[in-house]
Amino acid sequence: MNKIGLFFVLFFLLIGYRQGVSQCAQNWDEAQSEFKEGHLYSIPSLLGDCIDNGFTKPEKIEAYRMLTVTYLYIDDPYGAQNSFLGLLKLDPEYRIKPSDPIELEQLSKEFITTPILSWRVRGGINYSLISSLYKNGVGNTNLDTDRYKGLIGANIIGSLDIHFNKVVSLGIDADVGINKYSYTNKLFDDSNGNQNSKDPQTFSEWGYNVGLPIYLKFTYPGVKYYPYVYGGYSPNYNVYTSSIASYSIVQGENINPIGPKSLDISSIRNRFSNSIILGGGLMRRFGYKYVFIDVRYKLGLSNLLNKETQYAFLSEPDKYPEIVEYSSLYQKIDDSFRESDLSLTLGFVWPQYKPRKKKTVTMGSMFNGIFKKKGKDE
Amino acid sequence: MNRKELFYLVLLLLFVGCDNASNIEPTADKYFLKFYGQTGDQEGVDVKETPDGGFIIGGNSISTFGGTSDYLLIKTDAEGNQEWQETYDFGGDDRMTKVLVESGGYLIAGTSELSGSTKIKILRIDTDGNKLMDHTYDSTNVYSYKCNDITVTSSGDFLVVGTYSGLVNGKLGGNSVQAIIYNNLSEGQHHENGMGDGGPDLIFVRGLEVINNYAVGGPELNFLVYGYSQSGSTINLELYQSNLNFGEIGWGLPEPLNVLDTKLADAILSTDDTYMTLTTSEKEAFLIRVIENPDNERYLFSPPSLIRAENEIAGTSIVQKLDENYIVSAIINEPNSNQTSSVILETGEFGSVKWNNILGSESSYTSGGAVVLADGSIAYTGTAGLESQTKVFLVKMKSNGEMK
Repeated sequence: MNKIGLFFVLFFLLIGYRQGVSQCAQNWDEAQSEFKEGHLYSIPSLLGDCIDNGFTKPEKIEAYRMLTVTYLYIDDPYGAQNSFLGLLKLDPEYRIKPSDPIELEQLSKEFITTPILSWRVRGGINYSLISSLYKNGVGNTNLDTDRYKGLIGANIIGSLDIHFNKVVSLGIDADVGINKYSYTNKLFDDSNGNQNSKDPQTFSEWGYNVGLPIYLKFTYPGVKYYPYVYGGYSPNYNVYTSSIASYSIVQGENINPIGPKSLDISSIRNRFSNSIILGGGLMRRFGYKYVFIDVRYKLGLSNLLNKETQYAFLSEPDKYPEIVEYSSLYQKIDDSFRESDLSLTLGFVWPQYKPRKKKTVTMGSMFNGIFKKKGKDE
Repeated sequence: MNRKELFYLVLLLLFVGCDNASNIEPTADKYFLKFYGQTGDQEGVDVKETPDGGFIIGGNSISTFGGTSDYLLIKTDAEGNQEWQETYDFGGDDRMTKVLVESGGYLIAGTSELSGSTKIKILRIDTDGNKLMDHTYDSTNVYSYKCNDITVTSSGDFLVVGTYSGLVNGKLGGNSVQAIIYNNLSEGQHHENGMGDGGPDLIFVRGLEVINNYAVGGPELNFLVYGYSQSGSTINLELYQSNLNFGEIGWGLPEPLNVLDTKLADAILSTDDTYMTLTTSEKEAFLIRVIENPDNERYLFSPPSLIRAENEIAGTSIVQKLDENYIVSAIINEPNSNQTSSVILETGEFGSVKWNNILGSESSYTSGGAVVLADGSIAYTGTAGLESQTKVFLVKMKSNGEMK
């Protein structure tokens, strides 16, 4: 096809499209007029074809609304339901306007307009909180002179929310995080005979870990803002742990620093751990998308110290050379400890809607639904 | 189990599965690595278990650069937490060799440099570290003493053994066996007897074992004295049986033991009828089993067992486990460097190594004494080199060497 031929094809397609649009505009005007005059039975035929082909999305939404009301007035409930479902497919979170008739408002309550799934992605910062379960160390562990201090880490989280209804959903996360904290202590007796008072040691530890939190979320269905709270459980996998060790030998006025040196201490950390998560946040709607801010407390349940390998560097020094250095030169024998964290993240939500006719749902029925045996469902 | 029950079970497991202070196994409750020290350099030379389940660690401390050494005594609880730390300064270079636990306190022995010569210094310390008694042993003819061991008999008396250099046959020189037997420090009663004649064979006594724990002064009290002698460039293990008066030197070594080129006796351990000698050659350490023969006149030596031959090694101490195997602490000289590692190992009855733990792959560590505790676990002390300072370490482990 030459260029002239291509031009004519495009020209006639455009002309046809413009004519179709123009016809649907006339149909829309005529349908509005008929609706005002109460001539309802002609409206479905005026709008039907243009809904399929011709109207823009806002026009389709208005057309479905008019059709729904029309079917309600002519006492055709199935037609009303189908039209309203068509509306909801275009505007899943359609909200009843003050100008809408009471019949439409009643009908709308029979439909679920919340998404069935929501995809989320978010990122932010966390602050680690260390709980020492049993104090170990090369110094006097009866003296409370050592200190843990949380440091700022980071999280990137991808999530899937499975919505049971407007209020309750099940969230599943893939949480990749870096947690950091520091440990400071002093070793040996100072010149006055005070224990754990002479040589300062500092360890800045960071761990790269992956969690798979699963939690139940309760959302208050607001108009623009949607506050929510949730709670659940997270299994975690510790991928890698490193500690930046430094130590100073104090001899009177002289200070001899050792390090800092980064040491791989993954071998003395438990790979798997468990956490309970509690959180809450606020979603803000923008069109059919949301942005949200989330605060989460992740309560570590598991001891992260690997007791099997903590002292194995003595019997297998060649296998654990960095632990030899960590424990012998930098003089760090770790406590048994749990790590919790507080995180603050910002993110986006992409809901996937499936408007459908509602069954009667209560809290009780929802939980019964969750626990219902498969055979009964079928 | 239906889904609801499963859900509640999972919730229950989550909370029960929470690690906390009450259900976590305290790793340091039984096994630990501890460091002790103060300003300057400290070394650990000996450790004993105390009646309260804790430890008393003897060592030395140099608190100022270029200064002299002081006795150092550290008391810890059963978890190795320091309860107190004391130094004892006699003005010169003071070197502790051994620490013993006795009723109401501790007995420590070593030497002290006083008035230009080195004397034997013995202290009696109470359980809080206060000095109860301070005894210096000296002899006008002796230039320098070396205190190597102190042993308590069943009657509560004790013996100190070592070497001295002094005037022998009218000239300075010669090292000889030196034993001082005390009935009571305050009374200062002692016996002193020497072995060796100041001739070309120098005898360096490293320690002794009481063979029969009869009361001091009893007619049949015997000692097995061990050490080494030097004749020209050859060093040989020496072993003597002696009675109380040291006047009757028993015997030296039978010929088979002389197959070793160079030997130093580091420690000896007596059992009912045998004596296990920890012996060091230039690059090897050996255990030599000494068996008392029926007529009690001679001792037989089993072929020496090699316990490690990779690097230069020097034995430090040997103790017997409850299962009759042996715990050996030693120092390994790393090749081509001045660095040393501390090793503790278990050997079987004939010297085969069952396990070993090494400290000092990154830093220089040396071993002190080891002790088998009442529950069968093992502790040992030594010196940790931490860049520009040295500190005392104490390690405790299971009877099988595991520290987890």
